[in-house]
Amino acid sequence: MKKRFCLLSALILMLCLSLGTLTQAAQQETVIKLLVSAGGSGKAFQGGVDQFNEKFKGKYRVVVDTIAFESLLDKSMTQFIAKNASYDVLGVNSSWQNQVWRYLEPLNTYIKKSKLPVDELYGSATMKSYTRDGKVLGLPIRIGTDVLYYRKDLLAEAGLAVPKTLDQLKEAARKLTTGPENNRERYGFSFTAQSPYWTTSNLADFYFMFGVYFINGKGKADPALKGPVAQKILEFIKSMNDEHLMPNPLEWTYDDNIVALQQGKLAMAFDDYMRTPLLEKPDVSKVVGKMGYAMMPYAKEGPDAPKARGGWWLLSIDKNSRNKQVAFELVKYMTSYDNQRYMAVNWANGPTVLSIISMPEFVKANQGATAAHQNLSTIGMRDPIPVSQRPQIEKLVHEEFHLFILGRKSAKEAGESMYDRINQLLR
Amino acid sequence: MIQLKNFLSGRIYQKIYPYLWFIPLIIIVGFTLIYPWLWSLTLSFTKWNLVDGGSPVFIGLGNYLSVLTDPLFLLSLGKTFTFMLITVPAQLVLGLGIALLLNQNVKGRGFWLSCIMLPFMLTPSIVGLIWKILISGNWGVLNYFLSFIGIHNVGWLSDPKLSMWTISMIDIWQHTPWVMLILFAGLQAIPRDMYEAAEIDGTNPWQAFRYVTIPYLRPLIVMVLLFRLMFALRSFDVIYTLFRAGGPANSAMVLGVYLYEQFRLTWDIGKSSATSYIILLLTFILSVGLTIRMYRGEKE
Repeated sequence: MKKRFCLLSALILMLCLSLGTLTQAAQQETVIKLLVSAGGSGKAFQGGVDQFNEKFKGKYRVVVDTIAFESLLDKSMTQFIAKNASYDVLGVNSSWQNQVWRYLEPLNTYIKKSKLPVDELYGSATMKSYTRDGKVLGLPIRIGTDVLYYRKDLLAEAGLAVPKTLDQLKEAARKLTTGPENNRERYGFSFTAQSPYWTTSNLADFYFMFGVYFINGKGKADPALKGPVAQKILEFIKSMNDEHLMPNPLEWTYDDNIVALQQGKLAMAFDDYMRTPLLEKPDVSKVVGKMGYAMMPYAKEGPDAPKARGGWWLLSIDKNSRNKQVAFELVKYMTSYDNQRYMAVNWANGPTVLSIISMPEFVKANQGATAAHQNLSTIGMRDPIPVSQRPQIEKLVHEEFHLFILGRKSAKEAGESMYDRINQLLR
Repeated sequence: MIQLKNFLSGRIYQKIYPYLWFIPLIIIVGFTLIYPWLWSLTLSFTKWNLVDGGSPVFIGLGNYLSVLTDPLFLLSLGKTFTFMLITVPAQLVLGLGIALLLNQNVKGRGFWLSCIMLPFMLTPSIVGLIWKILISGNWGVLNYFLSFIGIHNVGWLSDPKLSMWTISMIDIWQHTPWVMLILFAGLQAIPRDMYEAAEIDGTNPWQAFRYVTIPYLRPLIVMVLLFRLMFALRSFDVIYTLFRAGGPANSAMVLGVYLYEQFRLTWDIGKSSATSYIILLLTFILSVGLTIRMYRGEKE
């Protein structure tokens, strides 16, 4: 009996001690929750977070949650409305930063306090893109821009150079398309117009490279949308579709692009340079070592200078977070030069520090890096629609583009309608 | 409960006693259903946009008028009714046909029943993905087989003239098994004596079907119609998985997609709540007649 009593007492004592230690550890360690998009960026961010957790072991701990790109905004918005700050730090895409900015903690004071040289690191012009009404919404962790993907082996076989004009692009598409018109084996080019987001992004790829924008510098619809350059571009896309040089754009998706390239069913495409590593994986791609990447055809034909379409991910802090200072430590670490480099070299993550893009280690990890660097250093990059009404604008551009491709509207009518409807929305 | 019994007089206690057991249910349903309903009903009379921030502002029937005069809403209303007119009768006829076939003591009935039920067991988003691969215009399986008979590149997902038929075909494929299952259960419940009596009276198979089978199945047919109409009215997931929007030139823009897009594009909670209530009202109008008929039939 006495023995049993001693054993029980020892057990209780041990339990109390271990509980005490656990509570103490929990009290010392601050847990930060991070929500980011799944996919390529998710893996890179997890790598960065692992480094952070290692560095601040016992002091801070970051728990990462990933979710599909399409659902991230919904989840973030739900959290903002509920004001529960389930996640202290959130991945915010450039396409929705203007919709959620009111719910984000301005980082100006934190940047000032920690003497972080953001202008030096990311460039003062670029920092303006992450700012609204003078408030810094977040720090950039990933930048993507579209480049021309092409099959260098097929171009060489056909005796063609990398297309630099729209005419050359069409000529190359004609020569690289194979199979009968109604049953193509391989398409020369592609255009993604299945959903409003991608229709607008892909159209921006063409428009921006020729100096036509959806929104001009004054925050209104760009009159160039109804001008001759925009019409020429629309006619160009339609002629490619009418000649069956591209799969039907109305059902072609962003994922179709990469799969078709991997399977050798597509010879050229405009796509984000962040996805080039997917074509160099021997287990899923039949075109390993056959791909080349270049700047897309561009020229100053519209009223403004050409720019490349681009997008970015910010790491932002929820206004209602209870651990804002620690959250900022995480944001600062993840977007720092060292971590940017680490994620770029190991996961081909698009660095937000320009100098890393041209590093040989990164070029080795991401074959599209040189073309992306040319985009950023030669003409610069621009977000397609930097206003809060972006989704509605995407929807109307998508509708007008569909009506044009289906032959229900002329290029002039579609362009004029886009211009009028955008202005109406912005009013 | 014993204390309450002592405290209240016998008659009052007798009256309220059964309701006491409902209290937990009322609390749960109240918080999870009634409160959100009332809250969203209140919001439907306000202007509240999450992107603009601020608080809800009362605007009366403004949201309802705005939705009812929106050309896209009217288009989606038309598309939804077309969708319902194609799918519901087709599911009923096919479901009844298959149920009658299975009711004929066919060999391996359990096996066939399981096979037929498979589409209904799949998650809608998976159904959308499977069909997307099957009917892709460029390299889809269906178009591959059609090419053997000289039909090439059918734009199931890109031709506005076909998209309504595409979504209807998939809906019929997915939901006919459910209709079949309900009607098959009904057929199994019809007493054999009825058919024997009819046979003695000299009826032919058609007359037996018309005067024995149909009257027995009528309450189930009404119920199936009611449910299918309600579900067709709020169709969303498969269509959205296929098109990620309202289809080419909004040709598959049914009410469910309209509501989702409206909310996702504008984050206008007030307007989206009003749209939800308009859809609810439409469901109510459609179902109330059938429900009354169903209960009358039961009484008879």
